[in-house]
Amino acid sequence: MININGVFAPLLILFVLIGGALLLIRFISKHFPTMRRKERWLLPIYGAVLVSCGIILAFLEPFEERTASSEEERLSSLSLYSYIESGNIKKIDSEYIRKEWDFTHTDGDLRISSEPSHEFMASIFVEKVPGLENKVEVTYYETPLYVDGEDMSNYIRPPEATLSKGLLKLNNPVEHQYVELYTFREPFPYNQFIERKMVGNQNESSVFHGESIILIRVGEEKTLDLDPDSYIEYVN
Amino acid sequence: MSLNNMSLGTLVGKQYLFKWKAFAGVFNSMIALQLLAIVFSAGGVGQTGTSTGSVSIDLYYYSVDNVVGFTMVWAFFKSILITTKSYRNDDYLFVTNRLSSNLANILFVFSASVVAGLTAILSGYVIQMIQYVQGNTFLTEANPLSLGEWFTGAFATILYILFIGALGYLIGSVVQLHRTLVIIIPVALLGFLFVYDFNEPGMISMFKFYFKENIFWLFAMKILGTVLLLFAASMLVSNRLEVRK
Repeated sequence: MININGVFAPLLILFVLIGGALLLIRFISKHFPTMRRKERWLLPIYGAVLVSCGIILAFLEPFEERTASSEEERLSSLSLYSYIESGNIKKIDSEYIRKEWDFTHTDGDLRISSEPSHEFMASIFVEKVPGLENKVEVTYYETPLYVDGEDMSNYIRPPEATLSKGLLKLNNPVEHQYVELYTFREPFPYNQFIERKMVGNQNESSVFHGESIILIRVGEEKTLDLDPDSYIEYVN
Repeated sequence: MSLNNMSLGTLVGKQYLFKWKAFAGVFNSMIALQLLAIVFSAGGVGQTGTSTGSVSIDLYYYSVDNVVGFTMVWAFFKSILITTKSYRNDDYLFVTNRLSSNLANILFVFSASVVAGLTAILSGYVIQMIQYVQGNTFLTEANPLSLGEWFTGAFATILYILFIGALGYLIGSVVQLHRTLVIIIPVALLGFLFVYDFNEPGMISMFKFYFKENIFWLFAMKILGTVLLLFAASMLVSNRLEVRK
């Protein structure tokens, strides 16, 4: 498939559609004199534009394919908190690791804070691990957030972590993330005869919230200074 | 009096072709209404979403439901329109009778429903194209409609439009019986909408009869049967009219 995803592609398509319609009008007027009245040519032009749009879309395939999940998949989504509480962090499937950072910090003291402290996008946990010495491992775990069966995780930017001058700072990527997605729902005469569930045709709750956790692992000999406004908890 | 001896089929065919050309203007209003419905659908027909702390997610739905709805309204009024005196008088350009005139009208309503249904469904591509031109992230169904499902849905849309068209044709025919019915019928219909309890079991079972039928051929039989009854009733009613009334 040809992939024309430049900035000018949509404008080019508009130009082709409008230009094509004008050429068709001229062609009809010239070769079919009986169709000069607009009542006669408006419908063929309209039909031609509709079909052209369908052909162009089929040719470009510009849209993302939904990865809609099954209800079982959504309901079986694991609880990261239960793993944290039970101390089985290592048993969390690696597919839920969204981002990892590795830092080296030689000082004995480490300050940790999040920004903004009250609306940080993940729960923060700290674990002291023997043998890590100067390593600071930060792992961002995330279970999917489903809206109408669609896993929205890929559209949400993960948080950012930086370590500088003895301060490990966790930030939201932007102040507020607005994710807007669009999808096409089949018209009602279609849904009447389709047995499988189509988009927007589900009776159960359409939003399933996932869990987001940042786990910071540091050597057990480190002295930690946790920002009290940042709701940081120890694993053990 | 004409010396031509034409068969009913030839006469209906000629009248139908004439009507197809003469009534071409009604499609302009259909196009205008469908474009209006596309504009109304530009902001989406539904939305779901959530907000968690610093993240807000919205999923907007687009559909041609509005376009299909507007097209049904058009089909209703277009069918009434072709029963009016000015349109009926066009038939006297031909050697005609009530039967041939009605059959030609019914054929026109059938073909107009096919055109209207197909354009309503295809208008979905325009809505998707607008999304593409706007640069929006548009998600498509991972398991899209098969060709069979597409045609089934398209036929169902056409049948719904035909059903409404046939209803309009009957009302149009009844209205021609007497001038006062022009007022009485719309008032009675509106009054019915206000007064009638749509949760009444009879209405619910009628709703289920048509709209909850998910076996296509049964649905098609039900709609086509009803449409035939509506057209037959229209023909009976119009036979009671005087010549050129």
